[in-house]
Amino acid sequence: MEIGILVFAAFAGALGAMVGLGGGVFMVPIFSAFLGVPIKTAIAASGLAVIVGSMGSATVYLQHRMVNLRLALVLLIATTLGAIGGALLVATAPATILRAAFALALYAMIVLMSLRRASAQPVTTGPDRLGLRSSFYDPAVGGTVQYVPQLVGIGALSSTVAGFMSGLLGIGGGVVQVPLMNVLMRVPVKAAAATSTYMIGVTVVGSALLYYANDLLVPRVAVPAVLGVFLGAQVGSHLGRHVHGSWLRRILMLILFYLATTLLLQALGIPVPGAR
Amino acid sequence: MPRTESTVTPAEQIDCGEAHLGQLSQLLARLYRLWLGLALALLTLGLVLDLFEDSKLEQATVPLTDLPTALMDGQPVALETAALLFAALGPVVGLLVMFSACARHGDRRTTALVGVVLLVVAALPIARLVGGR
Repeated sequence: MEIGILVFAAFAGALGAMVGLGGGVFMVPIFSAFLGVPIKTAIAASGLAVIVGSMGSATVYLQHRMVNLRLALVLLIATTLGAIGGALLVATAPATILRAAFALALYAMIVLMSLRRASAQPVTTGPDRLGLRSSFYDPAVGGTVQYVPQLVGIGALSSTVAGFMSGLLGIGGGVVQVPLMNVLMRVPVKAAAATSTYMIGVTVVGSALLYYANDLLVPRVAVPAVLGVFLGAQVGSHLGRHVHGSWLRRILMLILFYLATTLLLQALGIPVPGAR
Repeated sequence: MPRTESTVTPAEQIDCGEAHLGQLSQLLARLYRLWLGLALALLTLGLVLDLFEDSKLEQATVPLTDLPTALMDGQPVALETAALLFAALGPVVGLLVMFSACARHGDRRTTALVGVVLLVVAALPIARLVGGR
């Protein structure tokens, strides 16, 4: 089982690092449905692995100045405030309706992302009251990409709503942050993935400590998961820098489609193997 | 990180530009690399000792109250537990370092942002405990 966990975690870490997701969206269902790990143990191990994967890939992205630190801080505040609200209301929320609504929102994001013009071209001029302008060298295009994040207020508000939904439904934030930054705020997909990768590690810390305090961290699962995700994240973050942005968007859209369909099936009462 | 107060103009002290954020990125990258290196070295040591001891990994971590004693006894699972906890705290240490670096540089806006992030990140697990997730 440990070898299986290591291999799948490496795959999840690589894919997650490339598109700015934590990787929990892949690890939890695979660990629980195919490797026989109890779901709570899988969530706990995946939580810790996500931190290590985030740090591992963020190291590469930070080194190449692809993480927009100030934008990450603004969105971290917005998302975490939403997640706090969601976590407090989790017992009273109508989960079925929320799952369906979230699924529809994710489908909408896929449609918006598929409209290339809406998400591919960054804005390089204009007002920047929060000082969020940034640039990075993109090896895939062989030049420096500059951008000024747009609609920051609406983006932060959307992040709060997304954080609220993820707090209620227990879904990681990366799956929402990257499309939000890319589609709404016009941040290039590589910078969005790098910024989201950095953010994920920060948001999961509290949960990981709670898992440890509640004896949900099992070394037999967590140790290979952490090692696997670290190795995968190293490969994924290097690949992510060199792969063309349009490919990253396609991969992200596929993952969003998978997650949206899972949520919709759950909302319709159809069981999905390994889903939370 | 070298002290930079003397090279910063009053206008820059209110808000840092891309150059300082770039330096901050490099600093965080170095910190994360070092932190992960230590955590993974500790984890690998625990893993090797554990496999030598009984050829399998443990089913439970060591509780925090017993961790110092278990570490003193050289228990492999204690090393693994310490490594996992050490790794989990990395992003928070990164935020604290960023807070300190921005405060020293006089970047009030980013310092305030990091301070608020630290507060809300600390509040989230409390909310999860209250909410039951």
